[in-house]
Amino acid sequence: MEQERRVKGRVISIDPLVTYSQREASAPLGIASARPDAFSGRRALHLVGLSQTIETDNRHAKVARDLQAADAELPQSRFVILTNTEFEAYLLSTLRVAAMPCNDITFIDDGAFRPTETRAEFDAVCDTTAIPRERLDLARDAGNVDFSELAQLHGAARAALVGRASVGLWLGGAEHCAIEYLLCGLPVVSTPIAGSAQRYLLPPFCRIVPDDPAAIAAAVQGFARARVPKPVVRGAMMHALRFDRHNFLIAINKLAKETFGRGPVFDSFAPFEGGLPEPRPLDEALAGLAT
Amino acid sequence: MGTLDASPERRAAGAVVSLDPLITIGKNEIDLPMGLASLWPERFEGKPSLHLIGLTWSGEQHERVAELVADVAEARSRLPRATFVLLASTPNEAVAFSRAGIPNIVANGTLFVDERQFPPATPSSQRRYDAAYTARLDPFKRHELAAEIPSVALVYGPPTDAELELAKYILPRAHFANHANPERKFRYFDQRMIAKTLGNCAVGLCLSAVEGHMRAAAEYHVCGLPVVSTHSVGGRDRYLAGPLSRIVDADPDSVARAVADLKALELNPLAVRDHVGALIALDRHNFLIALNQIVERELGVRERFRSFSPFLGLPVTWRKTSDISTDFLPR
Repeated sequence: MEQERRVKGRVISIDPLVTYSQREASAPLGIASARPDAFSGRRALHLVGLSQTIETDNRHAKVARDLQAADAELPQSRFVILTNTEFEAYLLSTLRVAAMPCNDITFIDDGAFRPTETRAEFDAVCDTTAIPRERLDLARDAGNVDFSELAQLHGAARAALVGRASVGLWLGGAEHCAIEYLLCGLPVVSTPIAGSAQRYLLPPFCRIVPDDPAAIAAAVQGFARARVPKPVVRGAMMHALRFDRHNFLIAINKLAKETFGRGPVFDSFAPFEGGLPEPRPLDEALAGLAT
Repeated sequence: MGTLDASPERRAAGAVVSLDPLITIGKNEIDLPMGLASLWPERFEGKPSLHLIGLTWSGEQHERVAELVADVAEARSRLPRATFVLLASTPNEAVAFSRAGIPNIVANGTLFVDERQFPPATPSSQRRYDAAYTARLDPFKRHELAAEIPSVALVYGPPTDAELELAKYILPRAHFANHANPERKFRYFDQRMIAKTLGNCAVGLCLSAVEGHMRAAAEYHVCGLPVVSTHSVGGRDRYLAGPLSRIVDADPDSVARAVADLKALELNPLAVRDHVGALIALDRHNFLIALNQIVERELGVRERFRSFSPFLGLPVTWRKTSDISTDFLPR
């Protein structure tokens, strides 16, 4: 039933009407495509993020087809796809899909992950959630590594566990893990893994090394010996996040001005902080929007 | 569309950054809309190539997008095996281009400034001037907005007599750096001389309402000057994030107040350079990831670029076409 459909999206502003959602099977263009009747006849701006990569399998063509259908159904709505990578935005640009790069990590709740005062007991922490055994084996020479399933932990408990290590080792799995390490003040060692986290994994506090135990070990030990102060590592990550948020705000206000003829609509990033809640019933996602 | 001047002495902003596969970078100029592909189409006939095209002016306006659509279409018609990718200076340009079907990535012109050519002043350098303004003596640069700043150093391209006279009238107390020589004649400033002048100043100014990414803004950043800018269109505000810059209303008092505020901070130029440098590094990192993916998709070659070095100083540097031509020689 409609009311039981769960979506990842919310109404950011009612007047003017701006929504932010994530593209999913049940809502290919976010909450507007899940409940078009709620937006029919209303001028609206819909920002749609991507929950999965569209870099492969011609998925960008599917986005274009979905957008074409949405444009026909909601001619007064304007859809802008927020891509996690520049290449995704490029692919969409070849198909006339209005898109701009805006990594969903931009919206991460950076306050939930902070450095702790804990003395490091481990050289590295490595989240094992959903990572194949052969990937974890790459860390066999990395020293004293805490292999933990971080998905089981949340909030302060998670940060505390991460804080027991000197280095964050990201070998795959949840991409936000690499960013959480950085926000907790841990430099990161990883291997070439495609995905949205790549955006922030650059020197001096990240090292991308080949899929080789010796290279991984050398990188981990290098960072562990360097003892980079945690606030410095977090500071660098926050510098990048503030930069992306600054440019997102400029962009969204210009889009709102073009769409609604007025602005600026958003004088701070506050309405977007924390990103999107977990999937929830459609009626809840549309709360506050008179239908 | 302007008439093409293909003489060897004519200057253009472009370079060949890869011979195999064949990849160029250039600027959308009036008579060279697709850079080197417009200058020498015969060099690209019959073989695949990729052309990265930066803009000299904001691409956010609707009519500008229409022009670019036509430019790309014409170029594709002439060179069907070529791929043209515009370098958008802002996410809004990216949205506009994408909607119009113009392949693009966000790559603000500031990325390409060669910071090695612009050493920052030392922290102990004496700041003789409150502010510097590197800008043509052209009305769109709005020099009048600097009128309330106690001391300003101006760096500019060759002006007409009328432009120079007007600027002296608008800013009678300003230091006209390019004419500050015994002959009082205009002298062109190279990068070293620009950096030296900026080293005598506390703050950099950006006062136009609309232009491109503004190369001067990038030069201020790498020379370690905090920046005061008016609200603008074109992309220079990309790096004006945080406490080391101010974006103000377009009136002389607001500009002067912001200059005074930043000057009072007595910022270490090295710290300013590092602050912006980290952001430029982030953008370069992501530019390379995207470009390598595009090259793989369009030209079938993986990991073509391992570093940003081939792009430093391009396409923001204008060279004689006779010099650019040597880029096609095997290295």
